[in-house]
Amino acid sequence: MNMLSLITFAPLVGALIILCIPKEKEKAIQTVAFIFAGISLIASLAMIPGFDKGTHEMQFVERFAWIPSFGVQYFLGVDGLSFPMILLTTFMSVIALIGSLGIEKRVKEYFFWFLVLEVGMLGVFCALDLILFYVFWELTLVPMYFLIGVWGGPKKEFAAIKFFLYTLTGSVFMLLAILALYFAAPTHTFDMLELAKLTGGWDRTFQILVFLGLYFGMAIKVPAFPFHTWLPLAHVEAPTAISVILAAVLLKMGVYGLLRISYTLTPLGFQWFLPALAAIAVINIVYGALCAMAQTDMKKMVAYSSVNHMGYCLLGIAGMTSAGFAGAVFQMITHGIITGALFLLVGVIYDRAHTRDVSAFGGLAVKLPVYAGLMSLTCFASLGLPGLAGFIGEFLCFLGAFQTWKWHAAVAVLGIIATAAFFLRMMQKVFLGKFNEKWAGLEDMTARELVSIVPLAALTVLFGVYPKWPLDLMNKTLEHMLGK
Amino acid sequence: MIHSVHTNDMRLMGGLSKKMPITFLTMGCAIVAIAGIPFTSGYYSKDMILANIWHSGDKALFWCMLLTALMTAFYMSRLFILTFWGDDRDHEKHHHAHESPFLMTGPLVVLAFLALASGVLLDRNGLVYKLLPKPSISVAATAHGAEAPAEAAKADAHAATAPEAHAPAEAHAEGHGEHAEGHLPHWLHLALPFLVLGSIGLAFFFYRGPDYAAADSMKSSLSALFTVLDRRWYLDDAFDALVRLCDKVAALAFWIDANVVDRVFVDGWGLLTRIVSEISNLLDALVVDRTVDGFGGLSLDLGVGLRGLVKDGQIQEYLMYVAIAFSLAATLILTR
Repeated sequence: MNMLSLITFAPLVGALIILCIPKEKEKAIQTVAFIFAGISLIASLAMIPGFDKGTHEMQFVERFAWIPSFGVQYFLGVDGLSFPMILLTTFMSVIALIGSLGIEKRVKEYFFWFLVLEVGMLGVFCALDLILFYVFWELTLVPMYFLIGVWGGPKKEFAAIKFFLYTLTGSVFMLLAILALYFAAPTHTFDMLELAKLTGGWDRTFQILVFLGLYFGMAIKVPAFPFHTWLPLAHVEAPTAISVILAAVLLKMGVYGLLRISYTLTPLGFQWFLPALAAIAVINIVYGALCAMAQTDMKKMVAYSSVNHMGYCLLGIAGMTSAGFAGAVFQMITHGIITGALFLLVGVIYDRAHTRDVSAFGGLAVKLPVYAGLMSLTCFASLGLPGLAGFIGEFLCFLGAFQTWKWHAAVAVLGIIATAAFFLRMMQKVFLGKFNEKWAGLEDMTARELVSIVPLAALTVLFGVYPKWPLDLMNKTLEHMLGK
Repeated sequence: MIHSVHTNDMRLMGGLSKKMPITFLTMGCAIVAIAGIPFTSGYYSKDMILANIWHSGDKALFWCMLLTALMTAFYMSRLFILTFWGDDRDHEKHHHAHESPFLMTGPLVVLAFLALASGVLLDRNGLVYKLLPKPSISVAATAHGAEAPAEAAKADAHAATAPEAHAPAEAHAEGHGEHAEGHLPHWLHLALPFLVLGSIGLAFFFYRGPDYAAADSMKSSLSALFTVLDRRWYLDDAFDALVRLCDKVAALAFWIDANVVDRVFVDGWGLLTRIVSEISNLLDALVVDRTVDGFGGLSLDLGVGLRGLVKDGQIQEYLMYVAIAFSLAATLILTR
């Protein structure tokens, strides 16, 4: 059975069915969305027993010629790098769907675009043909444009067009690089695995140029300094569930692309860029944390904390050690879970109070104990408290990077302090101190909100205490990538 | 106390002994013990520590520790006197004060008993050395003796724990319970309880009330020291300044992000695109479109030129030209 095709295209089938349902039948639309996102989730979970952790080879491979005259194939497969990402995507999509149940405006269109978005994200992580990869990569843009532009906040149109144009600019450079690779291969192929075998024959200058083209596309997505400024705006304006997807999955596409394509296809270019990458990682960490510290809007603060956390991923990658790579991939997973939960939690308070200004609250822990507890857990996880998932990823990134980049790691540690500072201050201002009587009418979390957030909190604790399982999943692949 | 009086500030307490007798008595026991009055637990532990420091040879450390012990006796007594002695300084708080329930006083009584008696109990038959595998202080002293040059060990006449050869025998003796690791010199040993009592008496003299003239005059004469201590060595101010600085840096970083990075890398890119598009628009209007217009103008000119050949308004003439054109076209098509 073609598991990967099933996982990738089940949401597309769902989207087409939703198109056929009259728009008044909102319950039916939501049910269809859940069924088909659920199929993807269940199918991806069903792959776990069959997934061989002991090999770096591609598994569940599907390939046939798609456009034979140009050597474009329909080529899917997963290994220890992409499989965790697929699990993350299917899982976070269902979580975000639960978070989307509050959408009241144009329900049909919303769920349609949401499912199309899921197709794009899953395809990016499955695709092993560069053109297929590019198609899926671009496919995420269109739904995102509408999801932000129609269901977003006050400056939604501006945010949507900024997001779209900026990321598209990056993608175009990536397309150029992909074409360069195609013509550099004697056999003219877009097959990533074939191209990876040919890298020895390409000279350094060519690899550097191709790398830069690829990097431009990836860095905007990550987002790496200085291409990160679309992110706070898009995050703040996007509806809650879309912020969750944006942080949990879309940013990961950039880091994934760096490892899957830039690193394997242009190793010399990657090597050349390494010092800059380490520096950019440190800037992301420290500068992102400082920018987050300057925010009073909780959502914008969480958005900048994403810039900060993606810095850890880049630092881990720049270490070029198996600990660093594992840290980067683990950080991608945990950041998806933790920041997803943070955006959902910020959404909870915004739905009730219609403000996200930290100084508008105070003493909320008295009134909303469950909310305060979950928010505290998630904040502590995000700032890297040992025993929670965020710590493992950060620690491995630092461990992996320290040997090569001692000073970078030392400076980056300052970012951890700033991260702790802004999260603790937010918690203090919102939950502690004197209760602000203005919010006497606030209700604690509803069952629907708990259903979306508690699984994330549980995973945060589980992966913090027992990180072995996800690490085992990726280890063989990452070691092979490093040539061990 | 805090539960009862609703403040941590002992300056607002006073005269609470009658209101809270059990708390008063148990706290008295604890303070006697921590101050190191003979035969309380604090006396035994401090005596052992001081004696071992004395024999370690570091006399400066010994005097420092002794001074600290006396200061403990002083400030603990001060706490006790200000809380329970004299008049109530805050009548309202005094009025609301009440003895704690059994849940709180019960443990207090147990702890007070232990504070008084545990020293004696542990000292009997060397019980303390049965609980602790080997006196750690003695081990350290032995190690010190082993490492130090031999003459230094000899010079210290009182060093009971000196060269390694003696160590096993001494450890043996300690195991049997006598304070074989060494006492303080006799005069010092006798003087210590009086020093402690003197320290307590000093606290009593300063804080007995009802006025605190002695304490106030000392405070005013040492005001600089008091201020430094009151501000906690200005460490809090230093940390506050650091936090404010970090906030400024954070605000600056965000300003740069919004006004420089975003402007250059996003808006700048947009501006560049617009400039290029303006240029191509101009090119289009001035070159490409002119060519198109040129063709239009050419055909117009041609038309006007040809029109000069015919007379205006002669319908028959027009028809004749149409017929010629028509038959020419027909001939061309048919003969092909």
